[in-house]
Amino acid sequence: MSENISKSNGNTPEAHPQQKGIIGARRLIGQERLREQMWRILAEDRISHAYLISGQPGSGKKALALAFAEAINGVSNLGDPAPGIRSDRRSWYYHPDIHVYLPLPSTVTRDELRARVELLAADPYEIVDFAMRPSLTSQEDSKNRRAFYSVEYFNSEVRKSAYLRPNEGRRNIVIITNIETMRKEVVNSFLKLLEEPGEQVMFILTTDKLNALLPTVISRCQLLACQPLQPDQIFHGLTAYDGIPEDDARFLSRIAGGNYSYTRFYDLETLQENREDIIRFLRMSYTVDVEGILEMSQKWQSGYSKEGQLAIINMIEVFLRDIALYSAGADESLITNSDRMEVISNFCSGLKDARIREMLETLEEARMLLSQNIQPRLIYTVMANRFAAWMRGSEAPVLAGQPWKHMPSVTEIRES
Amino acid sequence: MSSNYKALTRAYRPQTFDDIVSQEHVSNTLKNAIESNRLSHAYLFCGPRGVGKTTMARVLARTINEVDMDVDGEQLNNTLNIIEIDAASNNSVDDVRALRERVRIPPQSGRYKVYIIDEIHMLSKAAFNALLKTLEEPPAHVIFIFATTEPHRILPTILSRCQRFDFRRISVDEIVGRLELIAKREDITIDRESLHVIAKKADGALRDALGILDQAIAFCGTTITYDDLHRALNIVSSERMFELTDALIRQDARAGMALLHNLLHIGNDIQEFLAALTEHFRNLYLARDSQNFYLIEATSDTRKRFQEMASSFSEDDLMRMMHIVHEAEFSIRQAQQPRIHLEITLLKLFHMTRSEGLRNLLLKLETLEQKLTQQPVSNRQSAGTSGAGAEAPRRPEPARQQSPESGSPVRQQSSKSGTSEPAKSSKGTRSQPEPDPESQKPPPTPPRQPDVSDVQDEPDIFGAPALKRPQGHLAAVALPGRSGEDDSGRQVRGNLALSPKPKPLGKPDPAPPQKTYKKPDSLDDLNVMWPDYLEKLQATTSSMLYFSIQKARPVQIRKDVVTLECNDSFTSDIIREQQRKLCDTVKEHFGYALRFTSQLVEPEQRTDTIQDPYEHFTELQEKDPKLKEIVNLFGAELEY
Repeated sequence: MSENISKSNGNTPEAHPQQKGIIGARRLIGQERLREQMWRILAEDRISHAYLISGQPGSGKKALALAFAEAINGVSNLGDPAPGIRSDRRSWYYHPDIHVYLPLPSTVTRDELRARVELLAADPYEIVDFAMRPSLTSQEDSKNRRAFYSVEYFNSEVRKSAYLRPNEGRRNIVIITNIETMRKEVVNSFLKLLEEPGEQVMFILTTDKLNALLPTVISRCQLLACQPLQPDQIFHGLTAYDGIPEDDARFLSRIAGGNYSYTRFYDLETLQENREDIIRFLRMSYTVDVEGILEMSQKWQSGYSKEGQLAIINMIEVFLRDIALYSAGADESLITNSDRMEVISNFCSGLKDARIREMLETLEEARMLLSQNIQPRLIYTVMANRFAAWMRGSEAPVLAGQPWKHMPSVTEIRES
Repeated sequence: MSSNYKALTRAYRPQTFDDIVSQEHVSNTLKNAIESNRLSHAYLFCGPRGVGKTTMARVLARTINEVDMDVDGEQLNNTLNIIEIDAASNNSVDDVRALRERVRIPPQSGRYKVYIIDEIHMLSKAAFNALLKTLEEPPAHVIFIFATTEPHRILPTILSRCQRFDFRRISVDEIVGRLELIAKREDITIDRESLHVIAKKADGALRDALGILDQAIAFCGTTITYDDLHRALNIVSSERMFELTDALIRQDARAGMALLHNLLHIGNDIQEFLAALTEHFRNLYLARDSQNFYLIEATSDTRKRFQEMASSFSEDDLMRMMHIVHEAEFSIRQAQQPRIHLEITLLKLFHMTRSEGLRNLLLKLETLEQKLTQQPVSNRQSAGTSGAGAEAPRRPEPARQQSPESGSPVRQQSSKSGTSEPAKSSKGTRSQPEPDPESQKPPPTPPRQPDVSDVQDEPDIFGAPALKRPQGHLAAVALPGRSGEDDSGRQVRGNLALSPKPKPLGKPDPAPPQKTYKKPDSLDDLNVMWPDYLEKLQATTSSMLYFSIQKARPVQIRKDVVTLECNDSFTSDIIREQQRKLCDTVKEHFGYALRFTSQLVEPEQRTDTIQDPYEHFTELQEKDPKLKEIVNLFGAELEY
């Protein structure tokens, strides 16, 4: 305990513990509740040794962690620092007591890690993970690189930094992102350290998949659960920080599904085109326009990567969800694709027997098939075929659980 | 509070046996062992997270080595005789070999050298084996204490060399007691109910409970109120749950979706919401029986509310709702867009209750139809106007018919749709008596104009509500009942198994109800007695059997063996299994024996499914004159 303590004690936080404040006021969007909570943690000086920030991708976990770390160590960059300590560093990136780690694919050099952390320094909402963005330089490189914390990486870098005392800040802060990618051995060897780190050391962990973590990890941390961002928050972010025109931002924020980081990179035109395609796809499914369906499936298959296919399926899901909600009489403000209301209402009044639930379940299945490397084209054609039946309210041509019936010859064998 | 603030979990780690919450079975055994000087050389502590394994190990080590209480638990490692090892980071053979070497050095002071090896399950197999000999016969001054959450991953040879203690999850009350104590020491005001909330959320782990308390203190300051706590922990208040239930009762999907939207907007977690919903339905379910009241963890006011609400649902309903929500709780973890998943789940709930109402209705129709088949002519009436039709079936036999109708509570909506449906069903059954109406006995009311109803295949999709928005197409989502009765009319899905399919229309020849028939030797004879037989069956056997038989139709009779044709294997199986009962019924009522067998036919192939929508549309118009009328009147066009 050295200088930093006296510094923080000199300007006693107890003097104004209830001061209303929020961390990351200059850049962060949404998550007000958590940000206020973090501020109070600081103001009351009840900084625990481990926090776990969970939430779906794009809800701003990393940004939150960084802003929290900055606030603890008094950096004013993403937001104004909490009372008690002030640092002259420009941002967390330059602060010696804030360490940020990302999961790494085994083949990647530490240089690339640094490049990514730099990107994060420029913008806390930058997409830096290796699955979404395999390469920083080229868009085309779609190598699927699985990133994780290997034993070697963890011991040589992460663990080492966790044994340091703070240099000039209040805490030595270790931010470990996406800890669900930690190898089993790594997590277990992390447990003791996580439970009782040295004095003035704290961990901020982030994860997309809370359910994939060991209960022993969650139990050792204070859990801060991020909620998906609301459309109006994303709208605010897009207009205020990304310079996107209001109309576009309104559309984007509605279809964002709570994911701000991705939404910033959406290409509006492609999106709208895709949605028109989806509407056409549904129509063609109904009219059984075989040629059109094949063409569309082929177009989607050759046009997008696996992530792109997922996005298409998600878009179909959103559209069907709108229909379901609309037909249940939900308020129009809840409809995502409200600019294509006429299509939705036509569907609802025209196809009263449509089995939306089955259609949605098929999408679930389609995702699974996609992850098993089934050709997207086949998935889409089967989907269209089923939709045709379901939109008429009848049973699917091939029932669930009897996939062999897709192949007539096999059917005969099975049944004879 | 200074910068030396330590998380409560670390600050309040117990230092004596008496301080440890729960786990008396372990601490008592250990205390006795110390007193009687019968300490084992190896202990294994296992149990879920946060129940005190490491703490117990430290307390044991501290007690037997008489370490001063000033020494913090985390500093124990710095005393020479207590060595705490993290097996997960020292899991290789080499680590164990080094350990073996060091074990031989006697303690510097005190009697024992205590090795606390945490996360022991992470030792490699080779490391485990290297430890075996030392573990079995260590020097007299050594005590090993292993702690793990996963005892199943430890070699059996290790297990057999240790005294094993299984730690229990800590009960809610014990956690509350501990939290109360700590709150007092920390000068924090918090009411018992809030502590209860925390303890329940901690799920048996004290460390979690303290973590949550820590968080609550950070959020609320030194005075924690129930409402603040709810906000801090993001717990869905039961008030909201009641609102949702209310919407469910009213079948107001619009209100339900708005409520959900609000909850998510203020930042409630989807998973937590589902968990809370499951618990809510559980409580509702329990509240149906006042004997179960003590199982509901709530104030008596809340219990009363549960009871009130529960009366609006049938037990069956609640069971299914619980099932739906519970299933969603799991499937949502994999979902790409959890919010959509949740919304659809909720919609399912809304429509499910409705389909339940519909089922009641159909059951009633069933009995109604039964009555009608007996006096078919009496119900001849114009089917042109459904309003008049609704009244009609009630007239002929008021006494008998009233009873099922008034017996069960009919919800507003179902009774509303009910008014239009009897008309249709009567239509459906009326088609049967068509061939020889003259043979009927004179009915109590004069027969109305006979109606040629070939409409029965097309009962209600394009019925009156078609042009209205919301209620009209609730069906689109989750109302299997409707879709089952669609244009093809032949598919019977799950719930609809109970629907009044006027199936036994092989050769409709409803003769006047007689009590005796001659033993049938042809299909025609059989068909004559069939409706009466069905009625007898309904009176004497389970309704499942009755409905199954009703769905089947006799196609052949040869040497007293009646062959029933059915569309699905389930019905077929039932008939075969229950054929004894079927025979008995025949014998009892008609005085002779018939045997039954079943024959499975695939439902007719729907070749017409895939077709041009316009063609389809015109076909529908042909079938349903009402639709045609609508088209003519309003110039309806097929959209989408």
